[in-house]
Amino acid sequence: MDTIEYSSRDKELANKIKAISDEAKPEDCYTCVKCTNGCPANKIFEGFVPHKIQVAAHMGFVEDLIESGILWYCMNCITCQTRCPMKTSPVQTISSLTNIAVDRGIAPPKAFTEMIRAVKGNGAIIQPREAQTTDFDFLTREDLKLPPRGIKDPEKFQEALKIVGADQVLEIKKTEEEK
Amino acid sequence: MKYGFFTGCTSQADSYENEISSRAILTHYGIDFQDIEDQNCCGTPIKTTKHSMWAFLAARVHALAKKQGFDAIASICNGCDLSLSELAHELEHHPDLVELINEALAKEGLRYDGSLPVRNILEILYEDIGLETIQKSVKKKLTGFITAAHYGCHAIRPKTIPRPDDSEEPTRIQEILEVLGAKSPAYPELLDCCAATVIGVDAEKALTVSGEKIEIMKLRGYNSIANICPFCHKQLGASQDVAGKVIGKDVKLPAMYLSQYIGLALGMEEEKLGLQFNLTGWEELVNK
Repeated sequence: MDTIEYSSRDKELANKIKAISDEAKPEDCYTCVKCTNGCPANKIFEGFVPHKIQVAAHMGFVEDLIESGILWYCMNCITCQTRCPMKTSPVQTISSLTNIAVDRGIAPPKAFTEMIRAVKGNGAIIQPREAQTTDFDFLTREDLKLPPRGIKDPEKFQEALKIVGADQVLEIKKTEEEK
Repeated sequence: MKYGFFTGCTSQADSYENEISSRAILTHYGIDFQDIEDQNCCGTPIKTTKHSMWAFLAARVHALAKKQGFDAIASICNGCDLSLSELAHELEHHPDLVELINEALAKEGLRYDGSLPVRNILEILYEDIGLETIQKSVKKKLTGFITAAHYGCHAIRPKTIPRPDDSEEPTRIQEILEVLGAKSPAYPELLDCCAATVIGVDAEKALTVSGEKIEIMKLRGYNSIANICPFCHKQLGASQDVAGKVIGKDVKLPAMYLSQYIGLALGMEEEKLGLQFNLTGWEELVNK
């Protein structure tokens, strides 16, 4: 039997989750396991078990889940929420918990930080690039006469992003990021 | 109805075939659309990291589209479509967040005061244009195509807000393919996720999931794949070579966007559909 060692309990957790998502509702989960049975991440990532995450979140014992980084393996397919007979949402619980972790200064996987950095740069998670064709040409948006993309006033856009917390994520120590 | 055209990050950066073919098909059927100027990421990839930043990005798109006089937003990515669609629903009980978003938007002279309707390309094709019109416009039937549909999770879930198709039994992509002359029966793995979301966390596992899905499509006798989402397309189309290496099998199978199938059936030139960017062997299928 795989048990988790719970180091500490966060009694305020339910409220913290509710502040992000009204639909997570871990308190309504009766562990029928329908979510886990339909979960594609559960099939390939050992230890990723949505109904257990709901229970742990309800009880406030999420320290180890947050520390382990396993919550980032959610594929966000929303099957769990769709099939839950109690209309709870494990995916929203998971997403709330990753947000709570980041708010506490725990870095997300590098790819997520990099996407925020890219958005701050010019508004998109990836920049337009040369794409290969079947004739081994490499074409850009310009070559294809597609309209240009990018933020018109990046400075003001970046000021706005600061208000909604982008910089806070980017400032999380790099050493943490590489963990 | 005047649509604000929203490309989203992936199509505007390296899935040009989605953008090109969507523009071509919408134009062909006389859909009134124009680009939303100054558009940004829809927020989806940021949602699990920084919820307030997600909400801001999605709200910015709505604020821009409203200010630019559009009646609705047309999206060509399931991720963008869900993000922009669910914003209003998620903000309903969070007045503090609306206030924060507007404080940020004010920096650029923008304001969020509610969302515009958001329409996935699948909805525009199926509802605005309709099967009958599409069928009547077919010039070259897609005979011999046995196409595996892949809807993508965010086109069909969650149930709490309206989505382009049913959560458990979607049929619209297949219905469209059938009127084009292709065969597109359902299969047990139809709803399986492409795993694009975890590509940045564990690429090998993510490509195992997508590789195995393509493998099973081949085993079941399909000779092509139809997508509507650039994230899914990356997993099931553009990354076929590397997915095949990861699982040690040949998973090459022509993968195209639904708009490209329609364009082929309309007899459009291949370059006008961006087919030169599909590197999964569609030529053999078309020229058969």
